[in-house]
Amino acid sequence: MKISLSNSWKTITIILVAIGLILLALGGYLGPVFASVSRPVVLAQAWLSNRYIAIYQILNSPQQESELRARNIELENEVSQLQSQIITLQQQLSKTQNLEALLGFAGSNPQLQPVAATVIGRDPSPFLHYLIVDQGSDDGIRKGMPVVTQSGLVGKVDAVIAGASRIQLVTDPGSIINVNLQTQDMDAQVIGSITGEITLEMVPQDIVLQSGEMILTSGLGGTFPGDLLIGQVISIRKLENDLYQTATVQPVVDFSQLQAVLIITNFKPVDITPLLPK
Amino acid sequence: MVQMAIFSQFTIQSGKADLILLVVIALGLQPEISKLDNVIFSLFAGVLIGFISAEPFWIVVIVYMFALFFSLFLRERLPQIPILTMFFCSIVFMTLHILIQAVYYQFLGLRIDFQTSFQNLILPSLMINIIATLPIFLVVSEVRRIVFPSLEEL
Repeated sequence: MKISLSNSWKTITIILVAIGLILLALGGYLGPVFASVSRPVVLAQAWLSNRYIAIYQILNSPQQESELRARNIELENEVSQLQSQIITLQQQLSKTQNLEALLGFAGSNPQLQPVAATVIGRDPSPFLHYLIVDQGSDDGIRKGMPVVTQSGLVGKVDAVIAGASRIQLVTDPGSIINVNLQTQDMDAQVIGSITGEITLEMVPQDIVLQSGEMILTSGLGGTFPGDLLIGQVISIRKLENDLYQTATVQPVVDFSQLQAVLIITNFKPVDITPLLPK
Repeated sequence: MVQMAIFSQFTIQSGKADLILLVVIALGLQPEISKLDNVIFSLFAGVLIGFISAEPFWIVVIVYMFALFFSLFLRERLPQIPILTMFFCSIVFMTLHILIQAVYYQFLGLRIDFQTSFQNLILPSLMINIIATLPIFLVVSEVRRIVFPSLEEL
């Protein structure tokens, strides 16, 4: 009886103490006590954790570094591969755009029966402005056929072999093309030069030339069909003592960037040399 | 092919490199290559370039053959300084090639102003050739070492 009473009191006391502690904790009175008790424990825990992390890093960091380096090399390789792919795709896009433009021109001018040709080389002589293209007599190309792009006139076929042709550009110093102006009824000539510039010549003094005026082939002489765009006037040279005035012409075709051209196959150039007076 | 497709597009103003001429001279300065092989290569290169280019083939052949014989002559007289000889020959024969072309085209009736030619063609072409001279000589020498190794090199 004595023992059971004692046990009951102990139980009751523990419960009361527990309730009291809970009430004190809920009331916030045990905060300072918990803080003072937990501070050394937290400090010890932090010290232990820091030492553990330091030892872990010492043991594992070389492996991680080598893995990171390997991964870095892999990624760098991947980046360089992707960059080369981007360059290839950009080149293909540029080529596709050029071909699309040529195709559009060919589609809108079916009467010209154009044959597309890729530029495969340029004349090594610094004096001459010629292209080598990959279409020849096997593809129906003949000497004298005009060569164009979607922008305008490029030149004419100068020599042909079975699988390739040589094209004399408008800018070649030996190139002379009969032209007229878009807005005026007047015949003149466009002549190339060794520097690749083209000039409008044989323009009568009474003609009023203006910058920006478009120059088209006239078809005279039978070398080129008429109304092919060549370029536009950018500067005029007019001296009172000269018989004719001249002008510098900006070609519409960028000859340095030519990758593909169209050869007009249904135009037969006329050789009027026997008709010229001797 | 490399000359036509790539190096004809590398221009300074209107000047272009003449790689074949440089190769002809460099081959002429290689001591282990026979004169007959050199002549055959130069003739073949001249005819090929002359056939593809709009330039008359006889100009190319004559200039290449002259360049070869001059480099063969200098190879025997000045065997110790092949690189200097290479530079000298490339400058002389590039200038000669351009001048012959200029005179020829003048006779054909093309308008070739000397000052413009000098500024836009002759000087830039010479500059590109001088830049390309040393690499071409080293490449040709290396190829020669592989194909015709001398006794010391073996």
